[in-house]
Amino acid sequence: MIYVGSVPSLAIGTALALTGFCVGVAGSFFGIGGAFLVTPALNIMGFPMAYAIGTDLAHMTGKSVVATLRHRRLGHVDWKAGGLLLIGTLPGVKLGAATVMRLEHLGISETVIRMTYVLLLSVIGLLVLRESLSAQRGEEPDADRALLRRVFLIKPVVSLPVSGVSRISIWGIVGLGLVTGFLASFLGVGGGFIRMPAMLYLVGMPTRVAVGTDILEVMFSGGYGTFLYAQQGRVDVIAALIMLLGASVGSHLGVQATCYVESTRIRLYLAVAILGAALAVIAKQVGLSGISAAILLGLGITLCAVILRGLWIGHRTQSTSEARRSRNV
Amino acid sequence: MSDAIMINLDSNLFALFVTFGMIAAGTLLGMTGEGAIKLIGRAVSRQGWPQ
Repeated sequence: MIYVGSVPSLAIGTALALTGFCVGVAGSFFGIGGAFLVTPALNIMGFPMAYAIGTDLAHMTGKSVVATLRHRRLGHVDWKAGGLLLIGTLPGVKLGAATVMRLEHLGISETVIRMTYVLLLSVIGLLVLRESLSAQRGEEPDADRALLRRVFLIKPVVSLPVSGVSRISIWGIVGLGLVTGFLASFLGVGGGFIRMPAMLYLVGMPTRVAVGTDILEVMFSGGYGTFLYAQQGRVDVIAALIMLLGASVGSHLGVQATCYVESTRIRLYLAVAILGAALAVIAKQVGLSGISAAILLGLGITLCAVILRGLWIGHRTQSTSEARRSRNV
Repeated sequence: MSDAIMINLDSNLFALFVTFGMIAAGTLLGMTGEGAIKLIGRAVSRQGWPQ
């Protein structure tokens, strides 16, 4: 006998749909799965940790399909880069899992993983924050100076027209997939918050294409994770479907918001999300689990509200200027 | 989880059903949502969302 799910109460059902909606908006806007926000939320609703992770992965798989379809329509998905990244990601995931097993054998896995997580989140968050703030002052980074475009140009090289990259080594992209896949598996996360800045700063992809391509990767990593957790009967299918319903509406709005919100602002919000997550992990590490969950939930709701506000303002501004232009004509 | 629903199925088969079921549900919601989001776009302004 295998566990399928349980019928939730009206209150839990509503909370699941709202959680799905918020993470749908934020995840599709940043191109991340949002596991760091959903897992504690499900845990608070009474799901044991393993079920919370499994259910989150299942809903994340469906949600990333919705977001990928939408991003594809807007021309934000680089399929070639996504495919090459995936070639590296899969062995990277295996390598990460093997490393965790080795550390577990040595009895130091918990500490090492949590320290790496905090360090990585803090460094990436601060770098993205610094760059997005200087970009807002008009100092936009030169995409041609991205690391993988200047160095490591070992043959064979490819062009990525969707990303505006004329020449980059296949090994560079596959290697990037390997490293990000390793880190994602090692830390037990989807890896969007690592891959997205890596695509921005190491490959020099435009922000919107990095978001769309990253969500494509999340679809595969989420699918793989769902399979593994469902095998163990750790997925509440009913809860995942309710969350997916909320997430599908949120995903459409999140993707649409990327058309209106400036790229520098998307990166600024991403930096805030990453630093907030780092703070939550630190709070958990010092035994403040309640505060950690409160930080994450507050972060999720605030980001969702800010993104929807950006969408609303952007759309109104565009509509007003178009109406003015048609009146003048 | 006292009112848990359980089924008698091979765990690998169940995992495949769940994974591809979620992908299928996402595809369906993605395609039907396109229409819904267009309607929302038109509701907030005459121009609708950029396509």
